[in-house]
Amino acid sequence: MGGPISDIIQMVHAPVGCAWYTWGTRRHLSDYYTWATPTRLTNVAFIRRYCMCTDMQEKDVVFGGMKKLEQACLEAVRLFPEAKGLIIFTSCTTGLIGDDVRAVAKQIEKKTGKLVFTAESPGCSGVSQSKGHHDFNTQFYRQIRDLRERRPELKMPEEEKTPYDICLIGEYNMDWDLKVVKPLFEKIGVRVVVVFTGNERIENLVRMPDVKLNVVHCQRSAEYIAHMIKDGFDIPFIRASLFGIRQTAEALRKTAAFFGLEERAEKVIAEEMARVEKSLSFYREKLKGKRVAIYVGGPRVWHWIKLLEELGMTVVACACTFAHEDDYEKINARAPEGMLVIDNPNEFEIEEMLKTEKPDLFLTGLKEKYIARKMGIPTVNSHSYEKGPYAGFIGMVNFARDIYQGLYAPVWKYQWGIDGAPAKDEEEGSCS
Amino acid sequence: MQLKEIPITGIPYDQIKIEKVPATPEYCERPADLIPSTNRAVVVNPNRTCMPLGAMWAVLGIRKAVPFVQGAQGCTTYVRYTFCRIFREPATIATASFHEDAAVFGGRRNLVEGIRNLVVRYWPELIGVVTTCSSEIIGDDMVSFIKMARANLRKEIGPEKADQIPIVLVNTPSFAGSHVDGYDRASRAFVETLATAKGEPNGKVNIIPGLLYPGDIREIKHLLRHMGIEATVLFDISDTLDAPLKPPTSVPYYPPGGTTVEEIKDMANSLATFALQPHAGQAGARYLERKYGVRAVVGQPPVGVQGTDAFLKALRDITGKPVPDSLLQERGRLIDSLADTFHHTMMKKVAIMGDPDIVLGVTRFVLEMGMEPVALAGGTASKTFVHDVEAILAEAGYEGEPPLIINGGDLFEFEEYLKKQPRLDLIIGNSRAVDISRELQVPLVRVGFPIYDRFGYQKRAIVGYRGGEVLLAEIVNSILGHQYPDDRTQQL
Repeated sequence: MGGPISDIIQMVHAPVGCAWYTWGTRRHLSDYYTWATPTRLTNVAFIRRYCMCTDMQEKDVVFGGMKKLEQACLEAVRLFPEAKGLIIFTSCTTGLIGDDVRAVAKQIEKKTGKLVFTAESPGCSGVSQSKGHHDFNTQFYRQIRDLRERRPELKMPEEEKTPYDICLIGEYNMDWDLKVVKPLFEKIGVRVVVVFTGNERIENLVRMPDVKLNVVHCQRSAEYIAHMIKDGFDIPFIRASLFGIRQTAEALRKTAAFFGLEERAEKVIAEEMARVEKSLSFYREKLKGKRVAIYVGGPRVWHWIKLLEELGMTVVACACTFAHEDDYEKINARAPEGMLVIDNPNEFEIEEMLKTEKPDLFLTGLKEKYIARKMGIPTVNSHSYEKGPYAGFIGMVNFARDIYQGLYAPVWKYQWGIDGAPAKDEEEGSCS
Repeated sequence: MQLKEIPITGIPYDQIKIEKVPATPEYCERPADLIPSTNRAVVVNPNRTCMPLGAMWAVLGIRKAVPFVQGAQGCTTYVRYTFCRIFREPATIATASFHEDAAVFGGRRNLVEGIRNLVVRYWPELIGVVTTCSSEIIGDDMVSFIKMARANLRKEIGPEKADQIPIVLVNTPSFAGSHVDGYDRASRAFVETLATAKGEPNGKVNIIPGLLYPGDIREIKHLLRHMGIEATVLFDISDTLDAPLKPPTSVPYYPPGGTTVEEIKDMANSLATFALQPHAGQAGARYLERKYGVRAVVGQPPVGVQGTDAFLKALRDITGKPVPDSLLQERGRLIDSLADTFHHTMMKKVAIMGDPDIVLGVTRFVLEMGMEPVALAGGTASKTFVHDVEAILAEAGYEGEPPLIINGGDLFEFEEYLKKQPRLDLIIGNSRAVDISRELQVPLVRVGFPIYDRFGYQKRAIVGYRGGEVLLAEIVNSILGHQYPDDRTQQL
């Protein structure tokens, strides 16, 4: 969750691998670039361009890594003065040896004047990344709350505030979703002052409690902080889904209703729908009646059930890795009759799901898509997308296009061998 | 985004205009004292990853084997993620899934129950237990845990079935080395656990390829086939991580191929063991030599003319079989290609990065093309790397400016050095060098691990004479495409 914050150093306090795997992997993009040469900006954004870690060695594990961490942070700040702050992430190694990273963070803040945060969530401390999301929410909230008390000048000055300020929570700018989503809100007349955390600057994040309304998109990874801000600062939040035509429209309507901007919202929705209607009707024609299975981390299952319905498709099965009770409530509320739901499935359960429900398409992430393909089932990368953005009205066309490409790729015709599909399987062929 | 109507092709990337926001008004020089990685505690842009990855890579090259990772889920997830990205294949890896209780009470229950579940659901032919930072710090007594797991299995499925599944332990605390070391440790662990002397030689040779791609291993097998030599390739990922799409498929999904347990057992009776990447596989070769007297041949990887020559000569000397005409023809074609292209390669400045053995092999080859190395970055620190590079330069009679040699270190040092060079024509390395190549506006020829941003590199070979031709062609064409005006390429 700290990864998309665009103008800070993400210091991974760990052996080298923990940093290496997160370096530029997930497609959370940013527009904050540093200079590669006197005439050229770097090829990719700052947070994707540099990966920093303490590279814990055996002797550090034995004697403790705090000194090394402090030195590494001070060096990083000197090397990259363009970074406005620093987050220290712990790992199994540094959690187990008990390094007091908060003490180090205090020192760094004192010595450099930068905004220094910690995110302590060692891998072996919880079930899945969902625990990490929760940890980050709680810790980050407390740290910005304390920071605002310690340094009130970091709050948004009264004269900069408007009555239409919102914070978009749980939006990580996958494949530039924000490029699609942010203008929608702006067109209806609200001001997106902060995004938690996609392509956001750290100083803006400190101003999270200065808005009038929080709009929560990913309600699994980030609703926690919306609750805490509500409790601590009395700022209300609404839940929204920014996937699909109807849900995006509903999100805009709900936001607009809060500010009394309903008319403008309707105008924007009508305009946007007109732009995508022709393409979507093409895809509806091609995709109607197709069966879909979804297996993702959490909320995208319920985000997408309605979206796929809008394309005339049916979700016949779904599974989540780290959905909680409230996610399943949302899934159940949206589920079509007879849809299979599995919590945290193993490989055999996924196979059974695919073999009994016979979906034409499997929406899943990178690690599962290849096994599905070996079974001859088309996939669309549902974590980092194939070719996004997928959010909002325009994103819906991209998503529909990638689904269409998945289903109609010529390759599926040839998979059954030189004599073609076996006779009995002909009806079952994924899109014959 | 200004379009009135969105076409059915959606919004392609080139239409989403992202305005780059400069972090500072102008370029700022990085402090000179912090450029060399030896002067810093912080590692910026590591040129290596964690030890368990190397061990998991190895286990996936065994027939119907599943790695079992004694650690938190992330240690498995991220490695699977990486394998999926570079091989575009499924990678089945089991995890002990450490939570807080394992951190407090140790991972015994996780291992014993995990192995049990893995066996009764997947019936693997081998389990490779791979440790992690956390299990090593907690101090899990893996040997006795595995004994308990075995005893537990004997009770549940009967001793006969339980004893048929070898469990090989590879200790890979990441704070003690990189993925290259992890592979090296696996090579030793597998032969130490499984290899058994029969008393009579089997006439075969052992090949430990190191972190080479499926295409490379297929090329090695091609060379061996033409030499008429029977061989065991340990950790043979050529089929397991490049499998066909041929439904129906069911779970447990075991890809075709891989080294069999029987073959590994028999490695103690071979004529010799070739470790094609000294840093990744030497430990296994040396162990077989010490314990069973199987000669270890540890040299530069068979990349380019001399690399492949040395490999084939060693095979010839050990088996007594001559290098056949068919391979000499291949050699002749590579020499012919070098003769056809040296006007485009000679005196070109090249920088090479990646795992140390890839850097060594490729450096030797580019010197055969008359290129001049300006910086060589081997990501895993090694006792021999600097010496080996110097030996290769001396062997080639290289008289140019001595290159910067980074032994371990990081890519920040590599790129900052390259920025200061008056001229650079080419970078050869993995996908982690993409940004550097774009920013310095020199082409990148992709070799080594990892290559995730382009398709097909895992399927082709850079080893052997034929692999040499492929790599040479890519190097030459990159230079032509980048530097030559199109009106001067009519008569190359």
